[in-house]
This record gives sequence, C-alpha cells and structure tokens, in this order.
Amino acid sequence: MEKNPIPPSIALRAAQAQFYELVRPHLDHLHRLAHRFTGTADRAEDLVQDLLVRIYPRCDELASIEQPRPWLVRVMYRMFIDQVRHNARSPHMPIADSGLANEYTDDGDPYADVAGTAPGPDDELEMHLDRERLTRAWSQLNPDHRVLLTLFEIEGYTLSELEVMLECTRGTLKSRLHRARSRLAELLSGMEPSGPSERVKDERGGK
Amino acid sequence: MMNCQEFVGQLDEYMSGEMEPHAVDAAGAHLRACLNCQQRLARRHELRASLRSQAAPAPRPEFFAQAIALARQSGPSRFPHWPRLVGAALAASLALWIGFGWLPGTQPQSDSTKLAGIVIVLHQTQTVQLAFNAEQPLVGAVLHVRLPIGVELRGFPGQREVQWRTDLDRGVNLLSLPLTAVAASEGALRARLEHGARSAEFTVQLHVRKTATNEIRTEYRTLPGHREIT
Repeated sequence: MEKNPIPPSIALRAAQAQFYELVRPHLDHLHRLAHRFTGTADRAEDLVQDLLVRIYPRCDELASIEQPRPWLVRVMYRMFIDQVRHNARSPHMPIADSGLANEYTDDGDPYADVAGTAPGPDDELEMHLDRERLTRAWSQLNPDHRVLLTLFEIEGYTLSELEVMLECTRGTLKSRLHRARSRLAELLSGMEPSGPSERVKDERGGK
Repeated sequence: MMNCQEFVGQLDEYMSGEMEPHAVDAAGAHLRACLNCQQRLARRHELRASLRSQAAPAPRPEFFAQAIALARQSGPSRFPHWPRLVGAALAASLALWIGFGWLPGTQPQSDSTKLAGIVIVLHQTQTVQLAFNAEQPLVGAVLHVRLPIGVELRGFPGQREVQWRTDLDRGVNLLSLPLTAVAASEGALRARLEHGARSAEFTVQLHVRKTATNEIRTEYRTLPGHREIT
C-alpha cells in the first residue's frame, strides 16, 4: 500500500493528545504569565515546562476542574515561588531584590500598616513611565512583586480570585500589592528618564 | 460621602470592579469633589496601562509541542479511559471532533459508523479532528481518508484520497485534517482504519456553505476535558 507523505507531526499520540487538548487553551496565557514572573524568555519556558511535567500525571484532576486556568496559574505560581525560595537559599543564585523570603508568608500581616492615606505608590509614582525605565525597574522587582502586579494590574485578576489563587487574606493581598507598587515607584524614581521618544504615556506628570 | 482615606482604602476594589453598588456611588461622588483622588485614580490607570504595554514575547514556535512531549515522557498519566465511542462536533469552533471506537481483536471484523453531518465554509480552512480510540497499541495501522468533491486537504491540492501508515497508542489518538472547501457542495468524508484483519470506517457528511453559519450540529457527547476549546 502506497504511503502518503503526510508529515508524522499531523498525527498526535493518545495520552499526549489528550493532555495537549486540556492545556492547549491556556498555554499562551501561562507562558505570558511565566515571562512576566521570571523576566526572561529562557526562564519562562523552563517554568512552563516544569509546570507541564508536574501536572501531566494529574490529567484526571485537571479534566475534572470546571475552570482549569486559575488552577493552572496557582500551581505555576507555587512552583515559581518554590524555585525562587530555593534559589534564594543558594549562594550562587542571587535574586534581583532583597527581602524576598519574608514576603510570602501570611504569618501576620507584614504590610498591615501601609494601606491608608499616607503617601503611597500612587502618589509617588512618576507619570512619565517610559518603556525602558519600566522594563529595567520591572527586572529589579522581587519575584513576589512581579507576580502580584502581573496578576492584578496586568492580567486583571480580581482580588477575590487572587485571595484563592495566592491563598492569602484580602488585607494581606492589598498590602502586598501596595508594597509592590511602592517598590516599583522607588525603582522608577531612582532611574534617569529615557529620551522623550521612548515615553510610553503622556508627558504631563514629570514631577 | 466617602472621604479620601476610605477611597484610597478601596481603590483596589474600585479598579477591579469589586465594589458594592452603594460604594461605587459613594466613590463616584467623592471623585467628583476631590482632585487629589482623581489624580490618584489617573495614576493608577496610567500605571496599569503602562504595565500592560510591556511586551511578553511569544515562545519559540516549537516550544509547546516539545514541552508537552517532554512532559509525557516524564511520567505515566492517570488519565481516565475515554468511552469507546468518542467524538463531537463543537459548534463555533475551528476544531470539529468526530471519531469512532476501535477495539482490535483476534477475529476479523469490520465496523462502520455514520456520523452526523458538519458544515464547513467555502474557502475557509477548517480543521476536522478525528479521534481514534484504541484499547491497545496498534503498530502499523493504515489510515485511509477519502474526501468529497470540492473539499481539499491543505497541502494536498486536488487529491481526494489520502492514506498512510501510522502507529496508534492506547487510548484516544487524534488526527487533525485541515480541510478547505473549494466549491459549494455536499459529500461524504470517509475515514477508514485498518489493522491486520480488522477495519473500522466512519462516514461524515460535509456540507459546504458560502458563509459562516451556526448550523454545525452536535450529535455526540462532548469529549471530556474539552470544555474550553475555542
């Protein structure tokens, strides 16, 4: 019987295909999150790869979940935090920002005092957020801050969703968000502005 | 009326649309009267817009396929067995699922299954995915696909018959057929799977329409875990 030259890749294999179809709708989202969490393409791919390896044996659990995306994000978030903690313990793998380890704990509310009317990041944040400065500041944020800002400010997850996803209280979550914005504002304020051609937004706020 | 402290304390809820209706009204009244909070809100919106404008590059084109293959090699799946007869035509989807059961045995046997018709749109490539459920691995099975007049398999223009030899894993094996209708017509797509003395064939009627329609009919159960195909 003559074989037709259909490329082998056209035929997916059994379990692989099932798994693929389960995760496929979420892969772009997960990769985008991973890139924002980690800050680099290589580490983003590593994180997504590790996630897929981790959840592959849990296909049955994944298939039974009504809304798999938050579940996948939660698993990836935990893996990322575990990796960061592991790297933070390694003398050879410094992390971008300091004070990381204490910020994942929900023991007490480490930021309980920061939410309120005191001048905060919303007041301190300069308006001229040009692309280059923002990219540099983003890379210097600690991973927890990148995660929080990614999920809340960029991807638009609600506080209620994040309470479940990150397993923390509303108050702790808001405090961590506040701290993340404060840190971003600090980093931006300590940088020289880039040229006007690279301004991301309007020019009105350079204070 | 809400004061500045209360507004700042609920700014995250305001931004994410999680305020109670009465609080939204109060926040709106406060904003109309408070220039400082108007500026706070504007800065938050600008921060959000700036962060969202930061590009997140797409992965390498082959990354997902490689990652899934590696995940598969890493350990056994506890995925539950699918029913023998699987398949569905998912409306509003580029991926149409049709399929049939396949139970290889020692005795020669031939099964034939006729599936409900599906609608494809003229001059648009639409992927029909065939689901072959093998209850044990099949080495050297032969797949034979015959297309109706006016429908082409992308990459094989003018060919109405395509066949090839392949191995099937235990479980559901998927085959994606990117089909393009080049003429308004109706006809049957026949897919035949042969392995040794056994064979199974199904037929699905393809209806080519000139414009998009919601006419895709769903006659079979939706595949487990495929709720989010878009």
